[in-house]
Amino acid sequence: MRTPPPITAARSRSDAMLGNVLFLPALAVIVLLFVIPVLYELVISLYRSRLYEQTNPFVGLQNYAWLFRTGDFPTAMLNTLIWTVGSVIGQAAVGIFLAVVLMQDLPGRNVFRTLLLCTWIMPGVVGGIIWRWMFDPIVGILNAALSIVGLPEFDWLGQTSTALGCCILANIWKGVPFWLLMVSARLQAVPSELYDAAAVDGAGWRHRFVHITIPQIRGVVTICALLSFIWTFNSFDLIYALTRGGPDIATTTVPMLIYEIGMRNGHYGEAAASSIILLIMMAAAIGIFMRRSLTRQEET
Amino acid sequence: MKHARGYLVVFLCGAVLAGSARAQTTQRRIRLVYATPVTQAQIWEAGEATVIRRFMEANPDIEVVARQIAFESYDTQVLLSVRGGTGPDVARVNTPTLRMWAGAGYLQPLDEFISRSDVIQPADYWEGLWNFCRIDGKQWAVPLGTDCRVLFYHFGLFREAGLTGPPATWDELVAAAQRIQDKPRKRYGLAMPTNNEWNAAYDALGNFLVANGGHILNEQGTRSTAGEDPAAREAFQFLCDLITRHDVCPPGMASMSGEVVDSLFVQGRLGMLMGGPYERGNLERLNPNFQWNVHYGTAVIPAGPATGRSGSAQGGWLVAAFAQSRHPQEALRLLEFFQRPESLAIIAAVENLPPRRAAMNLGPFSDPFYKVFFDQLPTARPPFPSVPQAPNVARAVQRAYQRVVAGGATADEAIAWLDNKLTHHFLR
Repeated sequence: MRTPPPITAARSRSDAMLGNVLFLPALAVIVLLFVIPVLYELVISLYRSRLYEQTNPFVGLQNYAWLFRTGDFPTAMLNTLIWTVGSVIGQAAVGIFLAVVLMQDLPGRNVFRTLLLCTWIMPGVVGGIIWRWMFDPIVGILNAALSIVGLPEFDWLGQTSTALGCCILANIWKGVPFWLLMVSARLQAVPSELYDAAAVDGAGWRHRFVHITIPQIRGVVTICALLSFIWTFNSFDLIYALTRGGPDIATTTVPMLIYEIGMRNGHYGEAAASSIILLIMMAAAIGIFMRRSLTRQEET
Repeated sequence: MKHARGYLVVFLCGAVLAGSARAQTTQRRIRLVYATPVTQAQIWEAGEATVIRRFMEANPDIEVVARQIAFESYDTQVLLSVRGGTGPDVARVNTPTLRMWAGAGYLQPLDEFISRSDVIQPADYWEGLWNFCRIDGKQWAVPLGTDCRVLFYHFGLFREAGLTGPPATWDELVAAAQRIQDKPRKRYGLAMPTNNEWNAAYDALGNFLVANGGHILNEQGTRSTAGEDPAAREAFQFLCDLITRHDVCPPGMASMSGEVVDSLFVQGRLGMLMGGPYERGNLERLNPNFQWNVHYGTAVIPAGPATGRSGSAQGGWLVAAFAQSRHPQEALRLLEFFQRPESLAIIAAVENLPPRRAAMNLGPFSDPFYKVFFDQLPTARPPFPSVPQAPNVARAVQRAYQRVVAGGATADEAIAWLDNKLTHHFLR
């Protein structure tokens, strides 16, 4: 049997160099597609850049100050927070519940699973239009149901008090299948002996869920929560199809505000400033979330 | 065998020559891109598509490719394509956005071309409309069509409510709407579309604002006057009162779409709506048997109390040639073809009114349906002057309105908010 040649210092250096060379294309892609656009965005955010003005003077941080002075940006941030947290928690609760229920040997569970997946693969705009018609105060099914029991019709998407809640409900409907799919896949890998042993020890369903199911799915829940958070935070299509950010700005999230300021009004400097703040918020939230999740996983 | 080889060589040479000749012909054909927000097949085919076909027949060296973009995203998509270097050569321009696009340097100035043109005669156009296309002494576009809103009222519902004719004042409008409104039977008095910023600023507030002689911006478009102008305040208050106090509108008025308004009207569930000449086609598409002067009538917008006369929000479309066009001369030829009276009549016949007098005698404009629009036109004007921040202004009007009807604010609070928003944030 031949023994491998000893690793010399020269070979080690050459391996390191090869590694660096192989890493270069990936680095170039990151720089090209992420670093340069972000730096460009940062630069634009420091200028008064208007579609209809030929000069773009340097204004420092005035665009950032303007965002907070108008009052729309803080409202949009609050809306984004409620929209994201409400959607992710709702999707997680319903998705995990359905995944656990569908683990039981129920008739037609595969058909149900498949049907649920349809909502996930549906484009957001289509889902938004379906829900808009359901919430419609004149022809919507929701008001038709209310009128059957003698309740007055209500403009669900047309009131600032209920519009965001309706959007969250539609987004929960859209996101649940993703959670169901991921958590179901993980649950199928949990050894049944764990549940059998717990049952022999007299553990009820609640104890089995808390002490076996939750620890087993914690990893996949972390991943799902992270992905859902990113998707929901940046989501645009569903809300746009439902309310276009209204009434007033009751359902305007930060991505929608950026679209309105930049694309519709042609104020690129302010839109770039909003994007930079959004990026920082997103990065901070993901950083904190990942750090906590990883620490907890290491502890367990 | 020798002959066969010879024939083959001759055939191949012929094929190559024919191919190259054809390629040269194709290369010589210039391709122009024309952008339009008209996406509905019937309107497109009967209007612009017909004019473009005639243009290509008259100019076989030019091929016009249409880029049809839905109205909701029209401005955004055209701007994105221009910034991306793939903008159209010629495009429709919505009247409120002209100043923004001209200011951005996207459009070709037309003064020199117009001075040489036999087709475009400035004196033949409605003066206000023509001047609207001039910014800082330069002509950036030419009118394609104009419109104003009038009152459409449902004969059947008016008869049932014991009403003998259309309302002529705001008080009569409320009284008529109240007599028609019957919530248990899902019948409503009056509705206007409000689901996008232009609808809210033109169709909802605009008519009352102009009829009452109100102004929400100063003449220069540099600050809001909504709060200090009693006529503007009264118009805004009246609009909000229709929904919150008089309760004569259907549910969903915070964001009502034009399609729902039209559907309710055709179904005999809505007594009155306010719309332009395009409404007739919209209503007939929903129900071809639903005819003007048989099932519904039209009248001028009820007079505002401050002026005692009618008034209406004037809109319309312009057409412009783009500065980045690689074929500027051909683009101007297309633009000029659109300005022929017969072309303008074809386009206006399916959606609005022609912008020049020479087109009035062509097409269907002698139809009595149009009389009310020509009566209304002299008292019509845009609800606010042309400013580059027009989308912002229209959106702020929509938000102020929604703050009242969807958020529980009073009209005075919303007007104060609008004043502050426009003067200190959007028009700065």
